[in-house]
Amino acid sequence: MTRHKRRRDPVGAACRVAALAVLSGFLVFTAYLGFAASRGVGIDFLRGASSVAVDGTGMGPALAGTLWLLLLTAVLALPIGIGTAIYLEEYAPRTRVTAVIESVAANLAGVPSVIYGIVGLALFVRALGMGPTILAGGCTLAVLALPGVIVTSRTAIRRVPEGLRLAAYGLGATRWQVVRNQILPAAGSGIVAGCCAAFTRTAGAAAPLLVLGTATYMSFAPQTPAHPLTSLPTQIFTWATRSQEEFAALAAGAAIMLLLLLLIMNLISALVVRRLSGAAR
Amino acid sequence: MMARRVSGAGTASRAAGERLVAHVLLACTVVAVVTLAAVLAVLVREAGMFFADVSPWRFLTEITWAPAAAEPRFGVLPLLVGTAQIGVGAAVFALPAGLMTAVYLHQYAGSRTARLLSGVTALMAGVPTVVYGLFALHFVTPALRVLWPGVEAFNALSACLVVGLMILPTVTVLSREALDSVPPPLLDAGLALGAPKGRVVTRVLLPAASGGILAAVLIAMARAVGETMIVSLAAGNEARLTWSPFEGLQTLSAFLTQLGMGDAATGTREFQAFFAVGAVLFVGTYGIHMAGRMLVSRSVGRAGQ
Amino acid sequence: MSSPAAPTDAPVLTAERLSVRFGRRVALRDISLAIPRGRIVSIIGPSGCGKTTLLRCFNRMNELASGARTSGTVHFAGMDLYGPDIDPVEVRRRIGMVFQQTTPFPKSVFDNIAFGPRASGFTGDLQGLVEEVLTSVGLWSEVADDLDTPALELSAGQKQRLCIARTLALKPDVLLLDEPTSALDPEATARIESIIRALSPRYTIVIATYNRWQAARLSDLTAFLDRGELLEYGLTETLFTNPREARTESYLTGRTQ
Repeated sequence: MTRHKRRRDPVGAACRVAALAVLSGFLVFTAYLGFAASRGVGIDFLRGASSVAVDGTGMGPALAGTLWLLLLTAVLALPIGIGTAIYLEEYAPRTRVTAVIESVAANLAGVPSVIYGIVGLALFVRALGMGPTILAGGCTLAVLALPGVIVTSRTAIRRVPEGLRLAAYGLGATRWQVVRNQILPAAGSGIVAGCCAAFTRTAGAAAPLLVLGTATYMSFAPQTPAHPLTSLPTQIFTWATRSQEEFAALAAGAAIMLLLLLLIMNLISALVVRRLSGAAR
Repeated sequence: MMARRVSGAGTASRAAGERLVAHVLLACTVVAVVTLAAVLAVLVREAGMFFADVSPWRFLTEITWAPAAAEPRFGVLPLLVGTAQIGVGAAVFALPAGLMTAVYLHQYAGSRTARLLSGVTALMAGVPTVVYGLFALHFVTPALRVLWPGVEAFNALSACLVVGLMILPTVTVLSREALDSVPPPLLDAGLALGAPKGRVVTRVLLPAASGGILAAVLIAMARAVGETMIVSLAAGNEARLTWSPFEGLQTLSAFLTQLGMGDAATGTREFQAFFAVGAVLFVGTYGIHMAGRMLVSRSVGRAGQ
Repeated sequence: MSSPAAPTDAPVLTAERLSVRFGRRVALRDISLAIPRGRIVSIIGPSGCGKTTLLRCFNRMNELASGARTSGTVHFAGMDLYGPDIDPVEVRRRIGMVFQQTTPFPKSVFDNIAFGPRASGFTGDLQGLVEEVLTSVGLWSEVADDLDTPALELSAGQKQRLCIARTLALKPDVLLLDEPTSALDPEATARIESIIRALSPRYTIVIATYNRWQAARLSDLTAFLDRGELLEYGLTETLFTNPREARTESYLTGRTQ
């Protein structure tokens, strides 16, 4: 019976094939990464510094650079973005101005990251004289993440049922008491999930950092944000452009490292989300 | 006067705290708005200075792009055509596959298969594009060259395929949301009339979700058009007008990365050319994205009624 | 405007020439009425007539909605509620409100009751207060064993009683009830109505209801609103048996809805 039905449903068959093709595309991609990285990536790779020579190359500095960038982005973009979302949703009157801000922010979240790179170069690296440093990179990535943080936080806040808001105000709560005791707990899981998505995009961004000018050869891990810019994504790019096979293996190894980092980030966020939505219930 | 009152903390100190919080939040908003406005201002200013020098007409009609040459030429057409080629090429692969996968997830897949496939899709959506670029250059291109020895080391086909792979999760996830917003009774009505499932999908489900699907297509296209790392790694960085998918090309976004490789000084026309290209890319992706979002809100609004 | 004066002695809330507009739409036009202390007053009228808006004028909830503009005055125990030195937060603590949709916070029963007192800096015996207000809505015997029960696990009727108890915990002077039973089954409705009756001498209660029989059952006075205008206001018995206005009569007899 089932088999008979399936044969008579060409649409279903086509969709099945498409889904299989998509899945196999991703499998090939994953298999390539694993295979490429398995060649020539030793333990030293994790510790060592990247250099021209293939022997003794590593990605310690790039990994440290990415962690620095993430920290700077979080410190700069999260408070400002979430604060803006709270202000626009709970404090500001609904006017045309707030509607325009919302729409512009939402569309800016879809603008290619490389554009933030050229603006960051003009603004942070040159006009403000930061030079191609981790600090300039962090500022650029923070600007890149800002629209996403604002938009996802606003969406999460808006999903809080209006009844909660009214009930809390009706019980004589002040604006901030309503926000702190009702809105933020109810919207918290959505805000965390949204910000994590915005950060995943930012942490993997290579294009804007390449535009700022990254150090290709770095022999020691950056200690301060004033250190020349380096990061895992740009390091992957640099290694990928080299023609020797060994560099492709290094790039694949660094790519797996980056993916693991993002995976850990997303797992932590998923745990926090589960805790928060459990607490809200 | 009020006989029964529940009150403890002083009203004055509470009001002061409230005001402080409101001011801090307002300050956040001002910083955010100023920052985003500064991004636009830099783009507009530099691009404006460029177009004061080079007429927009020449910019859009000349067919040579060589901003760093001794005798610089600023015809953006090769970059525009290259960008369109990548966008269309990626769409050819990704849109049918993504949409059909969404239909499969929505209509056909068992719940475990659906969860597995959705999970894989979510994971792939988070993969940085530079990693896809590595895959394009070091796996897809060599594979293509085995199939067709005439394929160049840098070629559009490889970039198209992998950009398509990159936007697949976007197409799938957003199309599925569009399908999910179709009220189930509509489908049941179709099935109850004795129509086979495939027919209900093509005649009822897809038309009912068409607004949301179109939005998904637009948002995915905005991503494909703006994609930078895959294209600069796989398609090379030579601006030329070519229709062959086996040859390399340069897109608007890939050109922008060259700003970091070269040393164009602030204030030069070469430097400003990057912002002119950036402005074109900005307007294009912003517009596509806005159209997509408007479609989403419209179709969601209609489904809610 | 011949505002029909209510037969009243000591009004606790007095609206005079109260109008509310949302953008260009006029939601309330020139309402004048007085709510006497310790009584139950019903506001009835077809849906969209402005019942909720009028109710929300009494504790300044309207200004939370965007684009609402209020003119006219509301006096509460002699003070101008919309005066420049009046804190709307303080107003809402003295004039409590219960909403149509049951809106328990996603917290425990205890925390729901404690929210209001905590927000206003209450330092007394919270445990005792919780017991007191839960008892007055008949919920104490049902939840006393476990005050940590998530409020969302209660039944619909229990939720609404919790919402009333939560408001009582602020010891307000006035209770505003906005269609408190419209989402409930008949049994739960009857329960709420008996609670309202029991609260009546201690609290002044204003209840907006689409259900005219509920108004007839519960209230001492009834106001009939139609399209933002106060058509008739008087003793419930009089209004129901001998309405002055033809529109009131046709609404009460169900000829318009």
